[in-house]
Amino acid sequence: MEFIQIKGLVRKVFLYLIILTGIDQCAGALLDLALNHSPDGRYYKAKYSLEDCEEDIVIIGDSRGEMDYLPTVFEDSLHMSCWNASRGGQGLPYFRIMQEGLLKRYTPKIILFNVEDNMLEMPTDYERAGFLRPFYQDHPEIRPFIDEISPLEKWLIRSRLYAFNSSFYYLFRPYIFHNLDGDLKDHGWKPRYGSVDPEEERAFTTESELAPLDPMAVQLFETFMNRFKEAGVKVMIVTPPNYNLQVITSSTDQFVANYCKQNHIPLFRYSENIPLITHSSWYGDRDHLNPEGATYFTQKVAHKIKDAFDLVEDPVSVIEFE
Amino acid sequence: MLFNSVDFALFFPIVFLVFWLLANRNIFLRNSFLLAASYLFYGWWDWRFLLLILFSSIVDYLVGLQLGQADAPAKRKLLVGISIVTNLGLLAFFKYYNFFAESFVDAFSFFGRAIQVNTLNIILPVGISFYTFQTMSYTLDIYRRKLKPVHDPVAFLAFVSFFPQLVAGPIERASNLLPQFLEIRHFDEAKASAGFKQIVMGLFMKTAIADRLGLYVAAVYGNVDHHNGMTFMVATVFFAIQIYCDFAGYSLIAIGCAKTLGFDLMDNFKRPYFAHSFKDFWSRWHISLSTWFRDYVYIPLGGSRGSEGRTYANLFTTFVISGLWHGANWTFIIWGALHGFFQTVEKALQNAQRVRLPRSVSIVLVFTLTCFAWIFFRSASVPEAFQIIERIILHPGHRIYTGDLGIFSFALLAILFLLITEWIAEFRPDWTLLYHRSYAVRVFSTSFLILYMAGLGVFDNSQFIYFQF
Repeated sequence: MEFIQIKGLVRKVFLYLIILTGIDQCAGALLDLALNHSPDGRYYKAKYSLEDCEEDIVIIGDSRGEMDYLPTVFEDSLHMSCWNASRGGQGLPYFRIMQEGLLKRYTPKIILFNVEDNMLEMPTDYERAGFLRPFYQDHPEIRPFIDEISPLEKWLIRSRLYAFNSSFYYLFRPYIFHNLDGDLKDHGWKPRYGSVDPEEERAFTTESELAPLDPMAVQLFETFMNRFKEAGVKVMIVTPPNYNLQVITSSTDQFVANYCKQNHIPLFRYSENIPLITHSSWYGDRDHLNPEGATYFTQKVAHKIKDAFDLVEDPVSVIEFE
Repeated sequence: MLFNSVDFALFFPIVFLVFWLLANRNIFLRNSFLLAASYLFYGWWDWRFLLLILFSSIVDYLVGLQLGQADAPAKRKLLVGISIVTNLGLLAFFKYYNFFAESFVDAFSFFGRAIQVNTLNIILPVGISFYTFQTMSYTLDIYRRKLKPVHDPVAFLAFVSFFPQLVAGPIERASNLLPQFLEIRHFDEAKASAGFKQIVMGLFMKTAIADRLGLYVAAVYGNVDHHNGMTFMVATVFFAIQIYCDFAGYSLIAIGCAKTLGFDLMDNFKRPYFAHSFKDFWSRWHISLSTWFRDYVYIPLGGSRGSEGRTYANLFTTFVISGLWHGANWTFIIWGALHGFFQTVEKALQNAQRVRLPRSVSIVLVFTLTCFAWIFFRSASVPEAFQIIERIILHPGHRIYTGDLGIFSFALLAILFLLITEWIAEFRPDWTLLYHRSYAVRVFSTSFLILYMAGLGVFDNSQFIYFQF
């Protein structure tokens, strides 16, 4: 008697799960539609980076990578196409995903890698790259990184609705407010408008703390560099400036400097460049350059790229800081 | 094994099916299976923890048997003393040794005397505060002649280690739960269905509300120097809801799991933030613990049988001990003391018949003071808690930090959802969709919760907050 009752319950649960799966798949299909027709914003940008981007120069970094470098300036200066694939709040897992997405399709000529002075000291946070879950099914190359978020991930991701977990705000926002994450014509650049008030902002500070490196971050960094090296891509590393904060040294800086020296990678540290650090009118906030500052800074970097890779082009017009 | 893990998702259906295949055939076999399943569940964290729970259970089982035969008061006192010393000794060593050692060092250094006490590298066994209290209630009830000792060791061991409520309660009384291990069970589909719905609701409270709010709370409380008073006020309210949904969610899952297996556990929460007094709050919040403290601490201290002053002292002492039970840190002791203080003042005002506030004002006042006490509970240290209070009072600021707008807006949505469901459950229980008379409405509302979790739940494998206690 009880066995029959339990069997009946199991059958009902099974049936219910089938119906639920059907609803889940339908909801996922509608969300996919929203993703594929995104007019702009971070999902448009991620999709472009993973599926369509074929530019000569690709910028990879976090929010400062996204706001401090203007692809159009590189294009004008170097006569090469450029795309900024950086994303605010992201770290090495996201950079690796972008790398795999690019290399699966084509080989960029130059990668500009924006490295923070403490990047290898921060614990590796895979969860942040979770916003790329909607691409999990169609992009096998990103699966190992998403699976790292938690042991549940590879099970939960079977739900198409879960693939869009927590993404709704940024998925639908561009349908209502345009260009909040940057204008399409700016090729991935997101401007940080505004300026800092030197009276209210931090006073000039120097930093030279040597914190321990995170082994997983180091491993991801080395893999990132090696994958591009194997693919024959030229990589250039830049550490961006912070307002009134001069980073004299850090464990990340020391490690990256040694790595670059051993592997002949051009490295440009602007995080200790006094004229740039102290120029208050170039900053939108203490961590990000405003459009004016970003334009000058990008011209400077463009000049360095030309020198570093010996590009035979017209001379680049650069406003010197020193 | 966490309730919100793949391991549990595989473990529980197997336990459910095997349990019901054995349920009415042989009680011994069924209890043996439950015991094995519970030990597997608990040993999943660390198999060494099993030795402790086994030791504690065996001592109390034997003490119970001896108490059943002993009549001499001295012998009975000795026996119950053995149980108390064993259980509190385990708790004191594993949970409080380092805290007391460090506090002694601090106290001596305050008076200018430096002493050296070695602290130990001890792992706190998960749920030790819960199962020691549960098993102690068994011997205390036999000592008070409210309960007869059980002679089936397997049933007793299964009662102490019953996996749904082993690591974070509800702390069951032996008189309620233990007899259920000695009964033949019959499968009841309606009861199982109600249990599954409680599991879904519990998971919803944990993943869609508690962990969602937890992202914001962690960002603010993890960076005390960088936020203003208004932000801390928001984060503290978020924390109040987070800890409620985390713990009530866990309790619901525990009660639901037990119900699918035919066991009835006590309710642990009854919409505590609708409480209109602190007495009311503690009859709605962590009910199994507050009634435990009432029966085994407050009443033995004298309860309200003595003078007014003595009653206040008993109340205050009970809450300070309750604070210490929560964790080996001064922040928890102050949290308990604050609740003791609030209750004492409230009782004094009631006795003097001075204050009569409208119910809605009382609810807001109790919630506000509860949030104030949560600041100590959530802070890493007492100075940090005072720093936050100073920010709230002296530096409220002009803007509230929202962090990631996506996370913040979903947190507000979660709060709105909770408010509506709690209001319905409190004032219009017949509107509760999950238990609506229409089958279609029940299925729709359950499906909504599951799909909401898929879309907006946080599945970062986070522990339940109360596991640390």
